[in-house]
Amino acid sequence: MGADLWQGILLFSRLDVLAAIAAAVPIGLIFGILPGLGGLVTLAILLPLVYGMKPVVGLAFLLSSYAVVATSGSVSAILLGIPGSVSNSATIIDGYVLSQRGRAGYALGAALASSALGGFIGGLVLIVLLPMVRPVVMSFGSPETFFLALLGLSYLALLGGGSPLKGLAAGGLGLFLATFGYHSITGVPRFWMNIDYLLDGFRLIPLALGMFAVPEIVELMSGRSIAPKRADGSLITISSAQVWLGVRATLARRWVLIRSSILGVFLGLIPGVGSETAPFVTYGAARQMSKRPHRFGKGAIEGVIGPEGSNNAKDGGALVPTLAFGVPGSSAMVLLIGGFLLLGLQPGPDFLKDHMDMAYGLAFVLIGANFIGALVLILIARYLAKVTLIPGHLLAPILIGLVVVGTYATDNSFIDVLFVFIFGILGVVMKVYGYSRPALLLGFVLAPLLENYLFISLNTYGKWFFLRPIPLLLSALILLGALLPLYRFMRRRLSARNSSYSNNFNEAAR
Amino acid sequence: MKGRIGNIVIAGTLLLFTLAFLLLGRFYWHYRPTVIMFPELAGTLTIITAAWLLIRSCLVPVTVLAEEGEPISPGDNPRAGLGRRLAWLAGVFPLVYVFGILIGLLLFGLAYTTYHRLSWIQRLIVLAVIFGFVYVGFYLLLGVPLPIRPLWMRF
Repeated sequence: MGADLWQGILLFSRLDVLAAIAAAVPIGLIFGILPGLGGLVTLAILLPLVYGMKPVVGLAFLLSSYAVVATSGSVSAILLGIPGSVSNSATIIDGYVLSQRGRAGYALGAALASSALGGFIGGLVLIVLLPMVRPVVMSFGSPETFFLALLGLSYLALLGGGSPLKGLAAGGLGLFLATFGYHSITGVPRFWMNIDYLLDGFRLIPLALGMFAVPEIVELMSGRSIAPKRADGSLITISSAQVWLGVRATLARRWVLIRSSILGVFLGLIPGVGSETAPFVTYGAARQMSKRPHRFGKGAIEGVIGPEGSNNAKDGGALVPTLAFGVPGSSAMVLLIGGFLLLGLQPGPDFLKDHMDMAYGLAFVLIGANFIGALVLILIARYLAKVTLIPGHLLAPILIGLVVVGTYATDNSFIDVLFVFIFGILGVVMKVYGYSRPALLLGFVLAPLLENYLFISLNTYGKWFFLRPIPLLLSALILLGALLPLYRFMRRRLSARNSSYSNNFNEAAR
Repeated sequence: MKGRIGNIVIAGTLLLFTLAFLLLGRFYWHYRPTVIMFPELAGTLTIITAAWLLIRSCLVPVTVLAEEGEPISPGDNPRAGLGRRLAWLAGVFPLVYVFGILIGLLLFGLAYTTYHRLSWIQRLIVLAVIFGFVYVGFYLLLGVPLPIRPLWMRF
């Protein structure tokens, strides 16, 4: 292992490889900031460029551009309330609230530091897991994956903000909307009402942009800037000190970051689970573990650190099955495998046997690209954050343009653009009446996983499919997750009652 | 339509929407149990919570319901009222559909900034930024195949 590791470092510290990383990181950062153009689109556009490159150079180019997309996606999520990619949607919940309070620099600093350190943890886990990966991934069959998705679903109520019931209702609607279109197992189209567009069901990007971007644009059309002026009418200043304070806040809350990153790696490890679900699940987990869960949704910095740490760490996890078995860990990894094939390499068990040094090198690329990307953005964060001071009437038409183009670019479909506005109206109504928009999105991304793995589990293992060690363990975690907040609530109520009783007693004694 | 009535209407609409599709799926489109099983599970969760919310909306004090939501900020002048903002949004899709993405968005930007009486410098900045990222950024540099020409010119 030691020799391969050293070879990996040498291989990816060559000048041509470093030049490829230096060229790819800014491209990835730009793709990440623009709404709608996530990692998948980045890889799709850059893939033909690697043709003819040396394998190590081409892989470093593709992976480093992809690795930083989630990092810069947090910039638009925090500053504008528009997710750069779907995996940044959970960052909006607290990040955008901080921007609205004039603390955009603080939120950006925390998000970028979490992204860099999350990517570091992801790369580290990749290095550790590669030699012993087989039993970990192979132990996850369809019952285990179903229960993992169910664990994600158990956070719906936690994402509900003021009312857990409204979180559940929104999540239920998300699950239901995801069932429109072709049933992936039987091929029967459901609820399509003879509208051809609905044969493939509702699409994720129009839903995410409609839910999050349109309500914030409606806010901006009031004429106010994102960060309001102070009571005396003066503008809030955004300084570098604020950004570095955010970086320090991440280091101070290192356990939130470590927990979220490890959870992100774990979710990324299971093919088909990670990319969209990991940030929401880690947000729910961070809130569940927090001593001050009531602050989440109102500008808690842990609500930024958790999702941002996990959405960079998950790439390390997703690379494990991709490199070890040739099984893509996420949809973007399908294109990365395409890149491997284009460069004359075949990921899988033989790849690890013959090119272990290259596999370790890719882990270093992941770590390096994440650090470079975050550092570049930290250095310019102070200037980026000034976007929040621009008057709403100036910013709104520009953002509408970005949303329209970003949506169209994803699938080259005008109907997607129409649906952004339809979901936008729904988003405005949900915001006004306190229905959780992140819960709807989480339900929407988890539904296909739940349905497919439930079907396969029932057909393969029968109705007692959950009587296996990992599903039982995950069931216990789900139950614990449900009971812990209830226990805390009861304890708080009891202590409030005791203190009011002792106050009354003291007053009576006087 | 704020407060209690609004909450009742939203919960009622959610309940009716889900119930209607489930009933249509089962009795009109005659989906097989394998096909309808998961929508029924998800729909049942939605229907139960929506029904609960409907009852709750009638019982809970209006102040509690108001605290759960996030009100949309009032406009800085009568020209930026919520109804007018939504009307502006409704105008985007027809514009880009008829005139193509670039011209449609430029027209929208010009009309919107003129309506809000922004200075000519500000209007030009908005138009330049829209042109910059749509045409130069997405179309020329990133190579995204945007429908630049108006729709009627493509046939």
